[in-house]
Amino acid sequence: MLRVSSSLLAGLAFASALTAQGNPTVPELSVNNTFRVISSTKHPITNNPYPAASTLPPGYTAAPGVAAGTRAWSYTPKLRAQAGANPPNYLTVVGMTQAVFTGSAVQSFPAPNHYQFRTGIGVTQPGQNSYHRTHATTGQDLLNVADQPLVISTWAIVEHSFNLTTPVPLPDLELLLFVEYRGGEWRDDPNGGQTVASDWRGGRGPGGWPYHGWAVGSNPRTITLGGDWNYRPKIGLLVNELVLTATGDHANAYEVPRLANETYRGNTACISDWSRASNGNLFFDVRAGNNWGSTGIAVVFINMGRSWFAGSLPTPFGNLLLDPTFPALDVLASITMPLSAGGTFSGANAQIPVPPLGFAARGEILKCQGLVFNAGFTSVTLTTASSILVE
Amino acid sequence: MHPRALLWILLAAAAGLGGAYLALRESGAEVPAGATPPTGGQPPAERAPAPAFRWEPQVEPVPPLPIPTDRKSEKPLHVKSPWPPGTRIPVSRLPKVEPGKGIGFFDGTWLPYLNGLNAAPPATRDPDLGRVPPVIAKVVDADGLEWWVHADGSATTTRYKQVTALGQTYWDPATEHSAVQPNTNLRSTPETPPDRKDR
Repeated sequence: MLRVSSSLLAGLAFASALTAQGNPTVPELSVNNTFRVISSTKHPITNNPYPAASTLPPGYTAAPGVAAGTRAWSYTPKLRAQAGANPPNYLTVVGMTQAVFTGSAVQSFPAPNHYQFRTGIGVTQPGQNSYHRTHATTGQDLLNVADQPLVISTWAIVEHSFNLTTPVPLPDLELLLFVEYRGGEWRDDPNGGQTVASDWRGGRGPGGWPYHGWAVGSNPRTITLGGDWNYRPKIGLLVNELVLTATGDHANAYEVPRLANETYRGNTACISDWSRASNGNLFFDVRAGNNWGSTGIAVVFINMGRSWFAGSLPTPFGNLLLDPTFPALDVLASITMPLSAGGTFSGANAQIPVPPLGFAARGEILKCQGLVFNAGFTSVTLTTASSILVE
Repeated sequence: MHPRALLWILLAAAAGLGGAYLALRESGAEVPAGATPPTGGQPPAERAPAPAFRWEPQVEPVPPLPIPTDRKSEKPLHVKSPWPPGTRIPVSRLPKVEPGKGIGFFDGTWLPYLNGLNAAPPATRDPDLGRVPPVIAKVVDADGLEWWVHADGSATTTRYKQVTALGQTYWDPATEHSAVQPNTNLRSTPETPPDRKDR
């Protein structure tokens, strides 16, 4: 057991007055590590923290530029996917996010050819190991939102979000998100220079495989893997469900130093070498939404095991995948997480130390799920699940 | 009390209170500001509270759920600007917007809807970026739709988006926000990624 709950009641007593506000906030599920992490390697021409040159799609380095329909995709292994397979619902998508880079090649603003990428959830095909999958060569997208013009007023990365009115309830699915180029972009294009922004150190998946890449626009699509497992295009989902992310320094592609402005909003940064690390820390990031206001509280359940628990609880609030009968179930109720505005908690500022687990822990899956509530133990709701493979 | 017993009490309480909470939410007792009620269709089945706290074996994935019919349309219903694309109109003062009757942000900012929409979801913006900067201009994009432009270069609009989900294609009212990231997201000196020692 990682840590024994010393006092659940102490945690509950920590809940203070409910101050749910009327201001809206939608929980966000980023499949890259975070939008705020500093990207340290930039493209030599565009200054975009862009995937390594070896991963550029064919045609990108010469005029007329990217072929229409070319996609940059990012896959999150199900091992670490939020939520689970508790039917009938898996995730309720209410929007998406993407990061758009505009470089100094652009001469005037707003450039008429800047646009929100066509984006969505693609279908996958098996990859190179048990966890690995890639964008499929054929098949209809599960979700596809057409591109439209943007108004970009400065040289920068803009984190573009759109919120839909009609929620899209999705069944059990693979989290493969993509953005699609209109075609014709060129990295030196003085009229545009737009491309998708990426995270370097965006989190690697199990086995050290790259979980991102490219797909050409023609059918069947030719799929290539990214040349560097550290890169991820910045794409995310906005969902109705409360989001818990379990991660840590050792879950990223680097250990120290932690970068300024770094946050942990994604669920791909979830591979851990705690079996060897001497200073493992666990972070929990919570995105609950404004119903849990500025004084809501979250606590976390933890299991460890070689696989997912085979059953799930038919709860009205989500997808509890933890096994209450498992000996290693722990409630971190003594480590409460007070939520700030929007029902958020940033774990990087309040790490939970994890003892070195030793080599015996390799192959174990650390499974986590949160419970969020307001004062008086009201509005009790489970978060989505999150897990980490110990390697 | 034994910690295991305490845990079971917690789980049972969670199930009961959560069910009650969701039941209230379905009854309209807790409607988020700016939310729009569905106009028809079946409510998602997952909203039904569980009858009891019990185990159930995991089953195979089920077919896609029906998409609730809110305000989606077969064609875009937004209205284009009378001004040509690229027009920038300075804005010194916005009309006052009552909470729930405009584009809502996490910090309590409310902006007027644009492009003929009279309802749209709340906007998403990373709270770490601070409060929403004031609007300084209205700009017309390449499609002839209007955007609010903020002092930091961020932009906001409401318009219909073409969505294909679970085999259905439709246009849906949407709120969009492009948040300019701080310059600290870029670092001037390239670095070589430190690799894991075991690779």
